[in-house]
Amino acid sequence: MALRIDYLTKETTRNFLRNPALTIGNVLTVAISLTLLGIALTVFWGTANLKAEAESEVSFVVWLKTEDNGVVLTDPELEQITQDLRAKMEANPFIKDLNYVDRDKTLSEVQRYFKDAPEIIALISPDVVPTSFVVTPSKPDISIVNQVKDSLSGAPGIDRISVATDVIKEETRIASYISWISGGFAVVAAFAATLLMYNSIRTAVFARRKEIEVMRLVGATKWFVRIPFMFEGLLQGVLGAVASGVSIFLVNFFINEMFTSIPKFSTFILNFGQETLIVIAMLLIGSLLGASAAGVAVSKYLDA
Amino acid sequence: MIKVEGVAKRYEGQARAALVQADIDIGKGEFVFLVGPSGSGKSTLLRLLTKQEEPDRGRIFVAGKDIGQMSSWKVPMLRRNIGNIFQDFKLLQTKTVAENVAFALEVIGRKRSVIASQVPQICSLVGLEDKMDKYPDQLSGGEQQRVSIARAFVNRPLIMLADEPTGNLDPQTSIGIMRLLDRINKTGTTVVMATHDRGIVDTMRKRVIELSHGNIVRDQHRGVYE
Ligand SMILES: Nc1ncnc2c1ncn2[C@@H]1O[C@H](COP(=O)(O)OP(=O)(O)O)[C@@H](O)[C@H]1O
Ligand SMILES: [Mg+2]
Repeated sequence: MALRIDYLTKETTRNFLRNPALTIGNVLTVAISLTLLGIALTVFWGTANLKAEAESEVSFVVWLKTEDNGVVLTDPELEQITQDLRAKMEANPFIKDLNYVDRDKTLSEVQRYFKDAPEIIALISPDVVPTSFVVTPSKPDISIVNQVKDSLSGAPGIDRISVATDVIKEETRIASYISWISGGFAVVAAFAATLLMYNSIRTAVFARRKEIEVMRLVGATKWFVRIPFMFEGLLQGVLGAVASGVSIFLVNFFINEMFTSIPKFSTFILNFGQETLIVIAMLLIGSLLGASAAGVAVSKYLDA
Repeated sequence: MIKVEGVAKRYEGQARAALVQADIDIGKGEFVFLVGPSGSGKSTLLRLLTKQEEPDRGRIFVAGKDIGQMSSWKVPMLRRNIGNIFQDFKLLQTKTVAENVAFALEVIGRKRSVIASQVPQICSLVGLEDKMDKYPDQLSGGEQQRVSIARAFVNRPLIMLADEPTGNLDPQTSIGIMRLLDRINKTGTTVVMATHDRGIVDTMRKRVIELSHGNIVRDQHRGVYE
């Protein structure tokens, strides 16, 4: 009554060997479509890494006052304000990093920035050049940034706080855009993988429709007919997934080789855990797709 | 053993009904010829008995059970009680004689030890003990039909349905097949055989049911073809 293991292994081995071209074709189909899917996922994850990195660069500038009610602040006064502010900000748990930019540094940056416009540089008098803190919040999150900004807004000595939210938004927007495109591509690749596998397994099932007819005629149950096909589909799916897993590791290896030297892109590289997760996903998808595609394909011949 | 009551069947998209009205009662151990011209509904009637087709109306009983009421998961059990043979043998070309026969036992989950003892026994019953390792394309038509009979009978079914089993065979070979079916019938198995073969029907003198345009026009004991 029950499906016997010896029967299952015998039939599966036999069917695998009977038409090697078809078996290899199926395995390759699975391998190629899963590799496409894996590459799409790699790009998706890589851009997510990039995006996280871009967001982690979220910092803002706290500009200090150079005068108070029209009276230019003296150096000791400025020193006091700076120290008070530094203490205040160092106590704030949402601030990860503080970087003090003094007059000279600011001035040299301004000079560099306006190096093609000396007339503007000429207008700047060195003692009105403001000093500032570059603040990096604990989390690359706009709401944290705003929270930190709000907590500082009433503090004495602060002229204004400028957050480069627009720049952040632009960078993360581009990264999101790329990851959405590759995510969409992953969905399309998964869909294509399903169709390709279904189609090739259907061909294999079609070649054996007579066998199915005989099985049904002598009283085999539907599941008895279905399971060996599903097992075969599962095995082909797993083999294809293993092959695609190897290609995905290779693709990642080349990405690694190409991108490590480019500072902006080095964060794109997936870590080993991420690569392994993608390969495990390929194995699951491959076996699931293989088994269910075979199950559906066989059911077509089980009506009678 | 088989009871057909007021059964009608029209295939989808077909203008004429394949069976208009069929009422048949066949007892255990009977041997029945189903005769009639091509297209008269013989094969349809046989397929209804194994639930390969469903009737439009009427009731069919096999071994006392109304198969119209039977849930689909029980259909395999019904078929294990019915052996089928065909004009085209329906053998699997990739399997040897022994494997073709064993297949019928494997797919209903029989133990390996049972298969190992049953297969040679049934192969010698049909006279193929020396050809068990041959493939179907290495056998004559008559030998192939013997394999298919062995496969249908290895389960010791209550009923054997034969759809023109001699249709592809020469008269001499056909006689051998009929002897085999007769022997199977003698073991108590009910045999229903659709045929065109006047010579066979006339010499065997069994019960003859004649179909014409989907109607039963004659039901005669110890009958002849016409
Ligand atoms: N699967 C089918 N689909 C549609 N029509 C069919 C099918 N099988 C048989 N028929 C039709 O049903 C009628 C009876 O056919 P069949 O039972 O095969 O007769 P016989 O076996 O006596 O030659 C014929 O008109 C045939 O064309
Ligand atoms: Mg017919």
